[in-house]
Amino acid sequence: MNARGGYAFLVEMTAVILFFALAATAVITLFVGADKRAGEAAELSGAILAASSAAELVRTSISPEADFTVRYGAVEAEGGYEAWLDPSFLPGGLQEYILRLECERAGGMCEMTVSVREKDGEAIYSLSCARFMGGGA
Amino acid sequence: MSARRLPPGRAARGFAAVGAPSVIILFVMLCLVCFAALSLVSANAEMRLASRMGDNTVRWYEADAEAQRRLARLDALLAGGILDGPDAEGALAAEKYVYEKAQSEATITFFTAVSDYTALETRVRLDGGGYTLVRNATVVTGDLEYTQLPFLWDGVTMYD
Repeated sequence: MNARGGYAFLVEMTAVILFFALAATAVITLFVGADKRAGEAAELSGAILAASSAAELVRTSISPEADFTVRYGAVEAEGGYEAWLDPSFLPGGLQEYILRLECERAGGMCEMTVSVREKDGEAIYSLSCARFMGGGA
Repeated sequence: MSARRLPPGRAARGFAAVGAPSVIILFVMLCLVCFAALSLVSANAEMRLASRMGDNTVRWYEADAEAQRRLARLDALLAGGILDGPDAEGALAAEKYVYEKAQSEATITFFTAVSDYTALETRVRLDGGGYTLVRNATVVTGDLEYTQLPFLWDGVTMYD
């Protein structure tokens, strides 16, 4: 190979490496974005399941606070009840998410809000439900 | 300056000629871009599905809470002696409750909309001075209307 051929090869390889670097950056950005989005979707799905499970428990219960406390090992906090959920949104184990129940009773009704939050308190998903506790009829 | 002499059978190669490594890199990058795009589309679809599921769940629980409030209202009406009035059926209908009296039992039914096509049906059976909740179920209230039917292949090729 003569000197001119070697120079052409070097230029081509430089161009290829540059193109590869740029394209790889773009592709990695896409992959990272997809992974982040998939993580958010998984987190939201888990939070929905956890919140609806808790809502089913409390909306069919005569004493929602007591049942919630027993089922999730919750403690009273800031006017509600809070329990830890692990990364799989199950009670116990690692402390990753917070499951919170708030109850308000008035006129025979118990209005409840079940929410799943991040450790720092940022809400991921929230459900409002109610139960009529009985009246005069 | 004289032209460079090439060996017989070899064509002149330009400065920007593309060699095999460039073609391979190009192909690999195209594949990677395709996979990345597919990942992104799939992740977006998952997110949309999760959001829709979340919205539907919220709507159902809101409807259920509303049904419980209407049950509380019915309880108050029954406690107020609405059935003792001259037109109990009409009075209950004004509150959007359906009063039905058969030979053996009397029931009151009401519906709470969940979506355009579904509702919660709540029914209580009147017994003596009180009542018993006998039904609280999601029912279909309307037929789905497709604005555009999706294409479904039925196994028959048009140009056989």
